[in-house]
Amino acid sequence: VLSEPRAWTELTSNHISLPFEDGRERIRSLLLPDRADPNPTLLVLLHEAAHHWTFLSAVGSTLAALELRARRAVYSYSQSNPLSRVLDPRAVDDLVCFEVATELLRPLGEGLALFAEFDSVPGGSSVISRPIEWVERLFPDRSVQDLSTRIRRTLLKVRAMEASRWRRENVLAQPLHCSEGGYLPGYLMTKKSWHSLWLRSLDQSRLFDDSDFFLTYMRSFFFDDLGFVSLLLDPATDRYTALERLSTYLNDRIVLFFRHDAESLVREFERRVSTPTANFWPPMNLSTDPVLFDFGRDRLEQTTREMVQQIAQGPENAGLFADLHAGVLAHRALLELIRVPARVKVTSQGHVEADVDGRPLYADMSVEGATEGEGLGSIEVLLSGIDGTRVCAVHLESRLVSWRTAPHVADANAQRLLFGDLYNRDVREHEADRWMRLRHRLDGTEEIAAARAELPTVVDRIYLNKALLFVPDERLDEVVQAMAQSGFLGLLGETDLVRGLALLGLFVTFGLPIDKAANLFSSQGLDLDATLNAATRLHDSIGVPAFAVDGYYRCFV
Amino acid sequence: MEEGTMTNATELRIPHLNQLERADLEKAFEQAGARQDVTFGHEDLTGARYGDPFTVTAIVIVSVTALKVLASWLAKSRHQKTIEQTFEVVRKDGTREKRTVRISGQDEASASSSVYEQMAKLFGDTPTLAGAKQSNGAKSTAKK
Repeated sequence: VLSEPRAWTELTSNHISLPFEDGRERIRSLLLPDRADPNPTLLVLLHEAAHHWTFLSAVGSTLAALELRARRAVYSYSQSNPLSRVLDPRAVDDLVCFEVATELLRPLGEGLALFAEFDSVPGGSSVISRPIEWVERLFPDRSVQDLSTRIRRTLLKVRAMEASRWRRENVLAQPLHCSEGGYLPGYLMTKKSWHSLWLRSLDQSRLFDDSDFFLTYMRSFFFDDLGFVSLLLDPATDRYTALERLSTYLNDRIVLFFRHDAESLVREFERRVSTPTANFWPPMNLSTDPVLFDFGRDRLEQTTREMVQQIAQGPENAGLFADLHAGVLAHRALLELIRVPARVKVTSQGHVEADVDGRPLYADMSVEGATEGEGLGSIEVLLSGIDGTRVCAVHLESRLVSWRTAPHVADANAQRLLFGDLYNRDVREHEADRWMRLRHRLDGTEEIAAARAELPTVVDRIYLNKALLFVPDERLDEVVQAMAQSGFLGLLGETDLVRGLALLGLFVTFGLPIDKAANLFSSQGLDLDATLNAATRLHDSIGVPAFAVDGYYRCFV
Repeated sequence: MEEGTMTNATELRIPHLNQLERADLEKAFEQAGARQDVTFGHEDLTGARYGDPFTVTAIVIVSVTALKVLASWLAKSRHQKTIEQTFEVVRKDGTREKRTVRISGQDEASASSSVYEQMAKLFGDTPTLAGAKQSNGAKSTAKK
């Protein structure tokens, strides 16, 4: 192993992996949330929760459907008579489409997740983004009644920690090119678009003062875009055309985001998103061509109907396919925060106890049908992406033996929605391994190889100039070259200046009070004056938005 | 290698460095004329996984020079009173163990010396290192 495992979220299953080193302590704090102090773990959670949220969207669901449809075709092929079998050609089309879209959207998805982590703060609007809402449930500050105020307090406290700056400086010094994950270009593009929309809204709604509202709006603009859905499900988008069609559409959509008349949409958007009883389907049309929007809605509804029919079909599709599809689909709304090994005991009276490292962590009644026994199992904490319900589940070996929720869920249908997948966890994990093996066999397919070869150039072409929109045209090539390997380190030359820039930018939303800045910088061993000089140089030479106004420093990098 | 290679441990791995820590460490090795003794690796996210930006693991070929560079780098990068750094020690027989170096409340020069001593302890059974330490006049708690 070359490195610490990274936290990640997988698009199709929407499964989150959070490799916390101190898992046992963490699960205690998650189980006893009143005792949890906010710490930089919150930022890791925010990042992955933001991915989970973007994947739980019209575009995310469509991509999951494409991959599941391809899996089904490949399984049918692998199980049929070798002498007569033919692979459904749509499987390769679906896979190319899935892979191309996943890579095209990657910098955008990472940009949104990094914005959630470092910049998003609820403000004047009535909207609170899902990641912020979910994480707040895990680290509630009971001393403050008002939700928005206590979230702001928690975020301010965490972002002032040195560990937060450490995470942010790592982003600012990432390579500029998208082949390394697209973190820096995606983040810069997101920040720049917020800056543009914020400037334009200053003498109107001022809704984009609220960075968390901006995050919610931007996520919907791209990931609930039924125009993109329409293209993904269009039979004309095949292995030969996917790259050209999807990249052209996405590029135009990003250009539109910078230029569209958001003011005419934001009030209605705010109203719809903040209404608790809002109907989330179809999502609001945010400047998508109405014809394309309707096509997208119809195609996704049709695809969903087909999948539901396949799950419910007769004996030839029972078993693995049914479990797989039902399991994956149910799981997409469950955010698995952590799972640790535990010693689990089920008594004959239907009582379950679970110990971690000899310390009792769980005691409750067993689920119906759980048999008496004792042995190794696990204890895990999950969060419902639909309503934020916190779930604690205990398995003995691979059998679910007990669970409880906060708040309590009494309704049987709601329980099935929450726990359908927990019963199928083994199936899901077994299936994921099997799929990876089968999937690799298709990697040699000419069209998949061709799309992969072209993707890095195409993705760079979409994102780099938008990420560096603040740079004058005549200096663009020079700046791209300087930032290619190590981002802002290539521009500033000194690591401590990048650290300072990372710290300064952490407070763009709150504003860093000028009279408190020097203390904050010196507490982290950094030189405020040197950082301000560097920010001024970046502003004067290449237009990086950084300034002091009304007693606060604000830096949009 | 100018001051000899360790006879027992072959590698030190320092996980979870961010891009700036990597740059500082790389520069420190370069200035000591030992750039070839450090390499960096990171884990890629595969398939349709989005996630945390990557951090790197430094893989250091153990030598007296390398330990001095590491000690100086750690002492320099401290701006809090406490330094805590976990290493993975890879020995010639393939065994690995995690070790943590901790110091607190010292100036940069003393901190560097303390870190060096603690790291040297990890390789205290190494004659090359013991000899080199004495010739460099550094305090050592690694003598047997």
